[in-house]
Amino acid sequence: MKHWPVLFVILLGMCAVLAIVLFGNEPPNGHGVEHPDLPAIQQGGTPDRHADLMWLGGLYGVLQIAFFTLSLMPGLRPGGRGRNAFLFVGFLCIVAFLSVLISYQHYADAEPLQFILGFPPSTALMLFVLWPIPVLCVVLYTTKFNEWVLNADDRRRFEKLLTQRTEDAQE
Amino acid sequence: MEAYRNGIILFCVCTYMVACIAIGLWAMRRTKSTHDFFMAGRNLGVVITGVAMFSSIMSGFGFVGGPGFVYRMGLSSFWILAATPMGLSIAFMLLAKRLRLLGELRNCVSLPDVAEARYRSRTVRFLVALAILFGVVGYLAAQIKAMAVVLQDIFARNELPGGDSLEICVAISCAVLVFYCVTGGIIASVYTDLFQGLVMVIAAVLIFVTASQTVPGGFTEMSQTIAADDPEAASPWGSLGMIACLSWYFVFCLGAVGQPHVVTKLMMSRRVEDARFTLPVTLLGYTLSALLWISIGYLMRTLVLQGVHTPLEKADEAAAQFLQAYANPVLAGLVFAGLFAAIMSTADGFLNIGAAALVHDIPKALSGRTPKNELMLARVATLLLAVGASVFALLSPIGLVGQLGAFGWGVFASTLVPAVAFGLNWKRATPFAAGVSISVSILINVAVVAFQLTGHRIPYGVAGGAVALIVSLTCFVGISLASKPPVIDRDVEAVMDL
Repeated sequence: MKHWPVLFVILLGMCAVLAIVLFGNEPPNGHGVEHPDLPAIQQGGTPDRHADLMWLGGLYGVLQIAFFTLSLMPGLRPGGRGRNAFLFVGFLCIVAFLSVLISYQHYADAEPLQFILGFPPSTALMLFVLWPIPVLCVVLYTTKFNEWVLNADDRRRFEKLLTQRTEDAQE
Repeated sequence: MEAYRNGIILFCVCTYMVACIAIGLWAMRRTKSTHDFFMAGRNLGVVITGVAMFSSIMSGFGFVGGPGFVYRMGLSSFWILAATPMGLSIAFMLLAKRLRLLGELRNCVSLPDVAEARYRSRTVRFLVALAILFGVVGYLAAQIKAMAVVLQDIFARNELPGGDSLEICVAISCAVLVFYCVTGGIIASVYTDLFQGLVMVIAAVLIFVTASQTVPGGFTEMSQTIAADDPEAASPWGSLGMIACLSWYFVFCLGAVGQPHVVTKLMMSRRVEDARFTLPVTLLGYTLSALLWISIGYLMRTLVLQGVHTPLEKADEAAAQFLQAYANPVLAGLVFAGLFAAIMSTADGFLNIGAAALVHDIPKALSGRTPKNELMLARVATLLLAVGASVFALLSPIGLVGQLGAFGWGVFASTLVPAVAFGLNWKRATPFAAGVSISVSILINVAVVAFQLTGHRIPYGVAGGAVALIVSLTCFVGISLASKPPVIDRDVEAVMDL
């Protein structure tokens, strides 16, 4: 299985991103500041605070989605039927995530602020595109279970295994 | 009007608790062996497994903390919810088939049982059981304290005796929880989860409808108000920022794979192929109950910014204040029952796996066998765990309990995802790598809690659990790749080949 070394490289990439983040200089509003007038509410300010982080954040997000997608693969039957379908879902997730980033970069410039289904465009992309896309994995799992995850032959092999184990235990 | 509202809320909560006790009594007659107590006789159907799984994931953290997060930070915490479809998909792909089959083949009743079968190592069994116990105590204390605080508020509003005593409220809420867990074991737990899950979904959907109609312009007006005050709060990253949101996305996505009280239920299903329908049931239930998380915090932030509602002193008051001010009294009662449901459905799962770790896994790891009267000891261990966690919750300051709740989630995710979820799907994974990854993750999680309790903040709000998870995964995969492939029992290998 070649994808374990790939997973390892992705993990090293995520470690590197986290190290850069954790040992970098965080702006004062890097993860929010208290509201000047209202207790228990935080403000983030403007998207400028992410200007230096956009590439790093983008890389972190893409690496995560790649990691999640590859983590699905070992659950498939040996032979990897269905792998391309899950890879395609992962690809769609990455495209949706990058769309959120690109849309967010234009967020501050939009005048007047646009709203799609009640939210700014970048937020709407996150809520109504990026969030639901992995539901395709659920659909694939449900509809293709008997072919890609556990087929009738596997069940027969397991029954035989179970019988063998019971006989061994009795002996 | 206020007394009438409070009376209805008290009635709904009391009715709910009586129903839980009744289910416990009914389940007691079906619990005849340790196997029934821990594994429900491996006889659960699709709906009950699916609902029990989602209601175990959606804890008091979701029903109280979720709206509080949205009130405080805007949309940041939506990334936790957005992680769920992928997280559950990974959990089912990696664990549903192999956990269920290996559980049946080796007659396993817990995740440490599975870990020993996979790695042929009692050390790994011990470390997995220890990690579970660590996480259970922290998380259980947080759940019990949350339950007692809510009950204390309800008692105080109704001017009932005990309303000023947190100890009495801890005792009452804990007594109900312990009663059905001790009498009926996991059977009572999953059937109360079914009841609790349905209460949560109905409450959340009704709240979403109410909240979206409270402001005339609906979510567009809410977003306009929030963005006018702070553009970032209405952005996909909220006020917390991109890196923190992505670290939540990571830890909650893979975290779903490593929650022992959730994934253990995959071993209890009647047939392995039921998993294909259990997954959509779990996801649907979780998504519907998350509507409460989304709507209340967003609405309350809007109303406070518009000057319609007085500012909250604490963000976690968002749900309670919404229910008091804007919800129909019956709906408020239903949601309060739903809140108890969310807390108890998580806590009962913890009691069960914690008891298994104490009476089954740790003795087996140390001496190679389990005690003779295991069922009786399991009941005693459940009681002791609940009492211990209650005392711990009462003696600890609120900040510490919250930190321990986060610690529990982080420990579960960073110890069980590599060693169990990946280990069951990768023959090359070694017992040494599993041991190192578990030890490293416990150390990092303890260090993060200590770091935060001494007043430090992690840069960019990165979740400590995300750091522990990435490092433990890297250790696990790296060490396994660098080692010789381990010897695996033939029957276990055959299951891994399916």
